[in-house]
Amino acid sequence: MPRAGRPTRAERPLSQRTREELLVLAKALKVVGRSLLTKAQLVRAIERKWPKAAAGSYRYTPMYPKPHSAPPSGVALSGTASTSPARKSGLPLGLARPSLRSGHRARSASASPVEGHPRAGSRSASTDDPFTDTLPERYGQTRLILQARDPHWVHAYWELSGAAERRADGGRARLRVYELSEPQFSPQTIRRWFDVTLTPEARDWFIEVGQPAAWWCVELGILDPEGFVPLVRSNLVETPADRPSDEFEEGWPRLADALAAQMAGSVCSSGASAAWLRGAKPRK
Amino acid sequence: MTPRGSLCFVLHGHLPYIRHPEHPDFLEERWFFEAVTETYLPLLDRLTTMADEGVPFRLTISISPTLGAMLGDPLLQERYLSHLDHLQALAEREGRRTAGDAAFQPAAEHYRQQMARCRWLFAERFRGDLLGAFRRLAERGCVELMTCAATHGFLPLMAVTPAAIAAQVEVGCQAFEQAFGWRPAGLWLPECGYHPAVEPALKASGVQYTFVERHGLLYGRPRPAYGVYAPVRNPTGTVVFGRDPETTRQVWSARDGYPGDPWYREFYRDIGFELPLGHLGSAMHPDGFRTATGFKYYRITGETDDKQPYEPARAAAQAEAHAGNFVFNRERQVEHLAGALGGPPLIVSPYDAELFGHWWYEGPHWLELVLRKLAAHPTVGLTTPSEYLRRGPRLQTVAPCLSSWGWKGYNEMWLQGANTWIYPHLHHASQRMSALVRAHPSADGLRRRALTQALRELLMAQASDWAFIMATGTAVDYACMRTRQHLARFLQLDRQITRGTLDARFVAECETRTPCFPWLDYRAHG
Repeated sequence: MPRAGRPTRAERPLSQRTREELLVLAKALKVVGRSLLTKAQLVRAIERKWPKAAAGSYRYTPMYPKPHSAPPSGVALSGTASTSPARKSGLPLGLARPSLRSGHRARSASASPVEGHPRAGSRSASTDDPFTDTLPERYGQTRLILQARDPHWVHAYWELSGAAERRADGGRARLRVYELSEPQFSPQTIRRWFDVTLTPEARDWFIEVGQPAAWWCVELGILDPEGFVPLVRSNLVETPADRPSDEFEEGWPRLADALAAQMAGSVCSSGASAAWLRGAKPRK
Repeated sequence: MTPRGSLCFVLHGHLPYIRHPEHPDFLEERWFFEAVTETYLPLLDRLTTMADEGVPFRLTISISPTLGAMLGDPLLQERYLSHLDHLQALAEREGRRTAGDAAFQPAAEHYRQQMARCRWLFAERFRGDLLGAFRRLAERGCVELMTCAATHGFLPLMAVTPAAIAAQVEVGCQAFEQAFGWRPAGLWLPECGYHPAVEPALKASGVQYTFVERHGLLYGRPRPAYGVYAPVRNPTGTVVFGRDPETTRQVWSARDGYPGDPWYREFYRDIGFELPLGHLGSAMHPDGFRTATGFKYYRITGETDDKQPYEPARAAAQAEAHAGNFVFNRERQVEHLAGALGGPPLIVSPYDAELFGHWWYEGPHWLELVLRKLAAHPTVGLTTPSEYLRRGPRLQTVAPCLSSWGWKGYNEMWLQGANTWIYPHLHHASQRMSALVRAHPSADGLRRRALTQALRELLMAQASDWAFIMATGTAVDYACMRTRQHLARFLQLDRQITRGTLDARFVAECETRTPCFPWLDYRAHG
């Protein structure tokens, strides 16, 4: 019986795939107007979206492959709302690699993280598993969780229930993103804020905050005639620094900028983990 | 003469917990077998030999608790030997197939000998007890062992559930104590993932030191006086060592590093994908699909598909040249840094253990040569974290920043479109675990077993490997299945405990399927 890690059809060139398969890919890559495209147009559109690093031969990047990173985009700063999901920067990573079909399921799950869970068990070793591996779509809570991704981006996910859910129903949901001067949320600590307009089915969002070494808090709310009505507030997160601190300590040598830069090199060339390397194995 | 600077080599050994007694031949278990054959046996072979010869080398090794659990697992040990049987039989067939073939016969003979040596090492020399082999090296003072978080959970993405971080750290320390007999001084943060939220957990578990990627330290506050070339204390007093970028690049990089040398073995050409299935026989998966055998007959050659035959002796000579080059570069680096920083630098060079042998086939040979050269070197001394700290260096207090050694250096590898779906479940489960522990502070009997199993399932679901594999897009099915199964079992146990409807058969079945850490105490999760 086939199990995880088996060679899949994913390595076939795009031109040899059916239009249905290409549509699945195009959906994952958020190709706009995909249903109207011919097969050849789909191939071209996918190739444009498909990051070079991933589409090229993964075989020659064993040590630390650098998956493509799309330039951050999608969410404008300072009050300009955007409906373009910013999460696409992380999206296309696995698409050029094997296990495409399941990979796609995993990714489509990100658009609505709780509904579209990859049901891996069905073609894996768990077919004889008497245990369920079904996870609930929701936990009946109201919560908004914020996590830092890197110096410039944070990720929020949420669940609304009860009164908050009824309130949000049909409303124009948005995230209000606050930069704070210290790790405490109060009118005095808010340095600035901006809004992100959400798509109706969204349950999570990547937000480009664009400011390293700063504190952030997010509120999920709706816009009604009175203005912004917050329904739930997140925890606080700090985006990490992206350069050496300008704070020095007395009594210690001052590490010169040039020397620090020499030590920093390029952050991207860090190591990878054994698991990644496992994942990079070719399957002929 | 006192060396002008020190080098601290760190190997981080980890595999996710993969053990499927319900299947006679489970594909993903082969990851473990490959690692034993290609990395852990060759390393232990060489390190033990050097120790026997009295070479005064120093090496720091972290063994993740899940890897430790698998190394000590009788079922996996037995399966490893039967895996070796298949490979040895294949080696004999390959000897006959390549007889008289000047191009491939040397490589085939090399693997025949390697498989025979693996069997001797595993069955005779170490008697299946590789953890014991590591422990003896530590007792002789050559190797410093340290632990890792319980199941290699990526701690920065547990910052909203500090109890989960505390459990990963504390169970990691307990696992080490169970395996080796003493509390560990050091803990390797999975994926080098640092977040200020790990600080209280490290302190509470008595971890004396850990490591961060270079920018974790270099971008810390205040700016560290010696950059990554001296450890610091974090705000809660744990010593933090920073990773040196230069030795990282030289050894790690596929493009600029040693492992990409044309004479070295090409990883991606394996007879398991090239020869007829009938010839490969029992070395393949019984369901009839191809897997890697570890028999690889080509060298990297260059950026070409026209690969040349692998010549083991020529590759070994190249490893020797690279070892000499590495030592030479360290002399220059130490001299430069000693001048620029006004003091003896400490160069910390951590690597994935599996780089040596599994990925870079000649890596163990190279490492042995480097360790031998540096063991009595006038300029560059070898040290371990504890040995370095025993000298009582003055340490600056610096708050390291969120960082990892993963792609782009922060959290993105584990937090992107493919894997964001796991976090609502993981965070919820951790909150539920806290509630369960509060509600049942001193359970016994079946309820205690159920609570312990709930924590076990939660820890398993947290392994960074699953999120990582989802992001890379290979073996995604397996990673998703494991995440879902462990979470679903956790939720089921949670329901049964909360409602008082415990099903003894269900609890027992979960225990049978995931028996990792049999000594686990559910109260490790606050």
